[in-house]
Amino acid sequence: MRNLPLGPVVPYITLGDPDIPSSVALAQAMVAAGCPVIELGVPFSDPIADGPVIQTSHQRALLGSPRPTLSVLFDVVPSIRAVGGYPVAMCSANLVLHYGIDGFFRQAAACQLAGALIPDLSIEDAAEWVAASHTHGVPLIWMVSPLVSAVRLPRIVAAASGFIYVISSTGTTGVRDQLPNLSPLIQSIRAHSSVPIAVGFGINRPDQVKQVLQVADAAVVGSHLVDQLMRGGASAALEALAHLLPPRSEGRGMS
Amino acid sequence: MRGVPLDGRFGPFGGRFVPDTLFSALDTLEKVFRSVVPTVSFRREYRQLLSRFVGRPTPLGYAETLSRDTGYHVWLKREDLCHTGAHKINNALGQALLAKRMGKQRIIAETGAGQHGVATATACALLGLNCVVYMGEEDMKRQSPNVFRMRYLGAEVVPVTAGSRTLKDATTEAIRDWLTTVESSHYIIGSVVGPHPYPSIVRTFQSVIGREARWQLKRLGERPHYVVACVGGGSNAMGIFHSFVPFESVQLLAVEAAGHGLESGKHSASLCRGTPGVLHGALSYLLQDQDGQVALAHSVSAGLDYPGVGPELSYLKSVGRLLTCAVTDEDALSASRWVSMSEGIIPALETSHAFAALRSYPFPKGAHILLNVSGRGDKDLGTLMNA
Repeated sequence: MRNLPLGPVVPYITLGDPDIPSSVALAQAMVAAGCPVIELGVPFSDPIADGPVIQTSHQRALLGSPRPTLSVLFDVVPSIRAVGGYPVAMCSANLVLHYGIDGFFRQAAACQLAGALIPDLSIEDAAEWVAASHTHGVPLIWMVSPLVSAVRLPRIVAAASGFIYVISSTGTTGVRDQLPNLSPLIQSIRAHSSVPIAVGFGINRPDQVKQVLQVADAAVVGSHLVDQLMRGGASAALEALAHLLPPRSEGRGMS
Repeated sequence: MRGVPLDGRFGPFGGRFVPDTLFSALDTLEKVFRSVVPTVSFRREYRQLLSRFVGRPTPLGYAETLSRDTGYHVWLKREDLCHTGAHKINNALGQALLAKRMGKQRIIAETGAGQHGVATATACALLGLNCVVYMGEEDMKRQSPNVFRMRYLGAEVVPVTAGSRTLKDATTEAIRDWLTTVESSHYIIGSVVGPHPYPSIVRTFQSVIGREARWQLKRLGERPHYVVACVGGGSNAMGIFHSFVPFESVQLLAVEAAGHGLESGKHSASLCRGTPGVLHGALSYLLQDQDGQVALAHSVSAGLDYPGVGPELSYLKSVGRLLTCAVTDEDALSASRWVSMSEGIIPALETSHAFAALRSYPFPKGAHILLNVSGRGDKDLGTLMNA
């Protein structure tokens, strides 16, 4: 499976917050702004890996009508692909289990979803998921934290496709002042794999993006954009994104 | 430690559905659990606390009036007589000792009815640990005396305002805290739920209930036909069932909360009406809607008000080893009065569900029944006064 062409920033938005057509339009605008890979969160009632900003975003989205389900996700993916985007679904394991693992990856392939990131799936429990991902050619994207054990890291890296998502620090998603030194972890991933690396959790300032781009291929920005979207609508979210993006020549761009 | 699965699975149920951040902590916890709990020094310390602090063994008594009223022979295992008023202290103390062995000074807990929160706050006060308890705002209203008790014991009680503001949301919030503070904190989960090794740890510490009961009955020359317990997450049930699982002649009955009725959609009967799904890090029977969103559970009793259930109970149910039934809010309240007036025991509303099954479940005439009185009802007086 191909590596995904990460832009300098991978923006996260929740599908259906504030409504489905707005999410699609925002994703398309973010692609046009220079971020081909977009994380599209499918809302879940109990997202354990997310902080309060994204959790309330999920709650808002779940109140919408029609409700943003996996079927809705599959419906909207082609319109983001059509403008050159690579939408990656971020969704809790239960939503996929409920839909059916093989069915999920089959539909994902049919609509050309660029990848799936399941934050509460562990490599130990993932045999069936990895097999379905390979069968249908849809990358399963893995998260790695600085606390990863020496036993798990090679297993995760060996299974990785699309890109690897490095969690910048412990905790849930959300804005942070300081980012830790991630070089050792990123170096040990690079020693085993050529899959591009994105760093996420807690990024909300241009200097943090710059810091991340010195060691990794992209910075994932979620809570900050979701927060801006809630306060000021799509224009505020796009403005915040533009503020974070380095001048085009500085980004590492395509991997 | 019989029956602690190496892969964390009970048949297809269980597992570890958590972000990578928690893996090292769960690995360490499992390692410490497996290596420390069987040692003589740990067992001695834990056993001494159980006898001198908790008041174990708890009595086993024959319920004269209930037996006469129902035509069965009913034996009561009196966990309501544990220090702090419920079985929850067995697990809280065991895990607090584990936390000390791991060198962790800060304890996180979630609570529904408040019994696990009180038990954890108590264990932390005794052992000199810092304690933070997450509790749904709705439950804080229903169980206000327990909120006061936790704070009086020195714990910090954090109100949870997300979702249904009950046990499910308190658990989610506690897991989030742990994700952030995992290097310095230990999360004492209160039921046989959560990612491996939690269901095994909690069941190991609660299995003292069934071990004692079996031994106490044996001395009386008794062997039960049925063991009955209420089930929310399932800790008191697994605690009393575990010793009896190998004996096929003993039937195990899990009594769930039917709330307003199983057809009303407002209940907490995950074993009776759930389908396999992932919540809080494990695969189990789960109440969920057509899209896989977790449904809101309902029960008059805060301790049963949970849309999931332990993976081991899910497994026992799936292989036909577990009988299940459900009792409505109304029948539980009526059973509470019945037991109070006929036996002089005010049971917790959770436990009242198990008692109500004595009137609704079709046990054969003359059946010998062991029932786990998981907790006392003092915390529920507010609800009972308004019922």
